[in-house]
Amino acid sequence: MKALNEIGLLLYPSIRGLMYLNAFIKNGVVPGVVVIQGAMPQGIFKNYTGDFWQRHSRYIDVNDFNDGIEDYLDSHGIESVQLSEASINSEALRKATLERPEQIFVFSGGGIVEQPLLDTRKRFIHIHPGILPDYRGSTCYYYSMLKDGRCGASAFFMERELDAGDLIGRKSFMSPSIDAVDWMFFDVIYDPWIRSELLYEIIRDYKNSGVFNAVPQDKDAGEMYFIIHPVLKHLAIKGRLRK
Amino acid sequence: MSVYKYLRKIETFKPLDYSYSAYGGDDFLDGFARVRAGAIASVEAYLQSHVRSGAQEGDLCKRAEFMAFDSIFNDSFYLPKMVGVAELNGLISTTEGLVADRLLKIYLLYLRRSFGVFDKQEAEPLLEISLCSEGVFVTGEALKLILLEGADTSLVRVIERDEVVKELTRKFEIFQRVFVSYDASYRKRSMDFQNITDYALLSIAAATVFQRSANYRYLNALVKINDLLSGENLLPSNINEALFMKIAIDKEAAIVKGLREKS
Repeated sequence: MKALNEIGLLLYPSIRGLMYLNAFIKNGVVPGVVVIQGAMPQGIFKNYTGDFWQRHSRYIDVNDFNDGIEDYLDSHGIESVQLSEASINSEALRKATLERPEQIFVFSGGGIVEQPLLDTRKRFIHIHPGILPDYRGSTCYYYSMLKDGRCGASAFFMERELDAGDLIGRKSFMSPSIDAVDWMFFDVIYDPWIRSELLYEIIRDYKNSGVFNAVPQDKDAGEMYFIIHPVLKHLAIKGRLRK
Repeated sequence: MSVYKYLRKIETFKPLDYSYSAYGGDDFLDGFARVRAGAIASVEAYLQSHVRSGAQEGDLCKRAEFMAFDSIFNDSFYLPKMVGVAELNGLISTTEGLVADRLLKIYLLYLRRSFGVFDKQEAEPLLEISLCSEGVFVTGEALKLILLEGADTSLVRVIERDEVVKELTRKFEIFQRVFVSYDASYRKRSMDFQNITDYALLSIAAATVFQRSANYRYLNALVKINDLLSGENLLPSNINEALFMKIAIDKEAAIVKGLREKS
């Protein structure tokens, strides 16, 4: 597969990180490097019993990762750098990105990126689970589900100010219906999946044009949606249950 | 053992981690409703033991609902004679709609009287001075005026009603506290954050904005506020506070019940 030598992936050991990796591969390309932030948890796919993953295999095929992330990367000829720490703000990660030729890194973890990393002059793409600037905040997709049954994702270049960087792309999705037994679907699968779907599209466009067409967002517009209270989360999930 | 574990205390700052909270289905929402019903029962018990004597026993709560606000006014103002009589009588005699909404409307009628304002020309300067003196506003007073304006949109010109509620709920989401006063940039101007009335008023104001806008950020904030108001050992310090607490929790219960039925 062709490597996008200008773009690296900061792979946080999570379902989201793996889905992001797949977004490249589905495009027939691979990132110039994958920087693995810490060890992949052994039980990453074992936390949910029964046929949970099988029933949701259209979102991620866990069998792809049976032999471990290293084998998966090797099998696709992807260069990788393994870090011992998972933190996005570790000195090791800052150093690793500085030493790499890639100028743009896709960020797949959580937390707030601190200034030393932003000062490296590399650019970092974050995909937020909400349509910006309307929906800011980490759990805003539950709010949009409550409001109109939809979810969204926005890709942007990270800046010091939270969720405020230039927008690369946005995509809206109709939230699917689920069975009550799958209540964890939205946190575990759907949130990372909608982000990876948008990543797939912006990588596709980049592959064709060689640039990310980013536009400034209106920083004064929109709302900050604070972490959702479990009562509202219940109402949001209840609204998506199959009757 | 309650399945609802999100009650907190105002005096101890202990942020809760809501991330990845488990889904408990109707059991969880029923548990939430029971906790709130218990809080309302506590407040009503307080009211029953504090309303003026002489009322018939079976009538205590009903009397409390409509009489308790008089404690903030002189006796001579207890029965409004100049404005809103017909509206007040209508609110007292009807049984339609939420008790909480009727209580709030009655309170706002009294509040309007307390300012001695009965029309727009008189209202504007009075309300402006109340809120902007020396660049500081008293949270409880500001919220009362905002609620008043919500009931009668001709009254307040200066304050952007939703902006105040938006900023105070934003501050609450970040710091989990409502301070007694703020400056014009919403920086706290008092270290006191233990006034239960301020929390109840902010909850009522957030509910009012949510009912008008369907913006769930306000519902999110008010449920978190009401988690503070529903604590087992939280007792109101006076009848007005008890009624504000009752209105706040009643309104939330009605909103959540309606959303449950819709989902």
